[in-house]
Amino acid sequence: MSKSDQSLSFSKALKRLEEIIEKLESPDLDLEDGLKLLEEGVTLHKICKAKLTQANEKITKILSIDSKDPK
Amino acid sequence: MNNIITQTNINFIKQHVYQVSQVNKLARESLEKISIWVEGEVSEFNKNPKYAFVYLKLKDDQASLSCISTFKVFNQFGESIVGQKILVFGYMTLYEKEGRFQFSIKQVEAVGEGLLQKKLDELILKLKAEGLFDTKHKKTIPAYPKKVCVVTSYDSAAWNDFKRHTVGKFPVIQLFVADVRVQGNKSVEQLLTTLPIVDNKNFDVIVVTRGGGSLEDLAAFNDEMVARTIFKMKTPTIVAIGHEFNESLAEWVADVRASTPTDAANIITSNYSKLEEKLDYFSRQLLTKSNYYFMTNFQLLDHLHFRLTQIKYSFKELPQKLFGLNQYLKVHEKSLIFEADRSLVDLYFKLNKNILTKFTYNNQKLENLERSLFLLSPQNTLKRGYAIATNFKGKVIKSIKSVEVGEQVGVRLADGNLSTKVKSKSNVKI
Repeated sequence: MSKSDQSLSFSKALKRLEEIIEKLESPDLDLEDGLKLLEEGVTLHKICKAKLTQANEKITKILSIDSKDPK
Repeated sequence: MNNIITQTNINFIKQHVYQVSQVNKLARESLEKISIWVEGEVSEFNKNPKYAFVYLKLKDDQASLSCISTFKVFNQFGESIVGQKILVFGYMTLYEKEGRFQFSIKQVEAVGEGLLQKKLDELILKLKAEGLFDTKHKKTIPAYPKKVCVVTSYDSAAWNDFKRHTVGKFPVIQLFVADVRVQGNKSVEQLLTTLPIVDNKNFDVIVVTRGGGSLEDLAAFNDEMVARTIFKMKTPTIVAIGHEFNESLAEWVADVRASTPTDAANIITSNYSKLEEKLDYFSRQLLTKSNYYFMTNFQLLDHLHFRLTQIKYSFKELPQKLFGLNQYLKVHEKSLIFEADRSLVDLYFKLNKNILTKFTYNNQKLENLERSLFLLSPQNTLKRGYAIATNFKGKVIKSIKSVEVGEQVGVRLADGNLSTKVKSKSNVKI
């Protein structure tokens, strides 16, 4: 896992994750490369899910506050 | 009258029998002696150019009166006269043919409301001719007016209505009020003073408004000077006077006419309302879109996770694969070695065979060459009976010209040499 993973934007991280999986699924995958990619992929998935969950919670909160506002 | 139609007087009547037409004529002549002024509201008005006369009906709350007049008398009135109160001068008469009673109008004057309306109509025509109502003079009301000045009576329902429908809904609008009398003597004067002042205060919009009323109540807003002042204003101006069906001169010259104070408020806030609707729409969109966004992305992540897990399994199968390969190798080891060995032997034989072939070929070639060489050697020629003649210097004699008669000549044969002398020379004929 590179250090920059945390600072990647959600969409970039997602794109990278998709790339990794495509590489992993290619038939001529090298074992050493594969392990590295797998590790990075699992980390990226964790990061993406955390980011998305956080954003979802935040937006649900914002929208529920907004709808309570008297017009 | 009742006295006339009594039994005792029948004989008298019978002695003076009148024809119908005579009665009508008598009546008409008697009636035409009465010239009077009549006041009434016009309920019907028929001014068809194809007719010889103008026909109209006047009424009050109890009765109606058929009237006849000439085009000339009603020259200045149009269809709008219906509903107006007028004052007419003329005499009573009778249409003899039908015995229909009518009033012949010789002179007409508008009274009260009618007069005001007539004046107003004239004024409207005048200002219209001057171009004061032309659309090219109409200024556009800003889409989102913030500073709004209302010229009205502070105590009026109009002001309250306007306030409720503007700041009441959209507090961002700043309302200012210029308190003026909206009816009565002082009204025109106050409007003429106030309007130019508020026009110079950089308001986004000025609204001149009051509630409904009679034509007399609205007089100030039908005043020519007030109309001209409103026309000259630099600030976009909305005029809303009265109820739905009241119409005033001030409204004609305004940039925008509104039917009521509330209508004026709605014109001012229309874009704010649209904005509010838009915001509501966006808010709903935000919810829907964000829900969709999260749903799809969570699903995508789940799917990617699934694929990642699958890859883990494929790595787990790797040792199994290796073991399989190993087993395969073990099973086929001997046959593989045998195969390799056999191919090596094959190669060796092939190599040997090639070398042998080449060697034989070269040997034969060498022998052939040797044979050719032997056939061409001088010794071999001598053996076949040829001789070589040489002079005393040992040089081979190829022509008779290179020796003289009597000269010593050596002759070489296959098995030895002769020493001879040239006796004679002769040419050989070929």
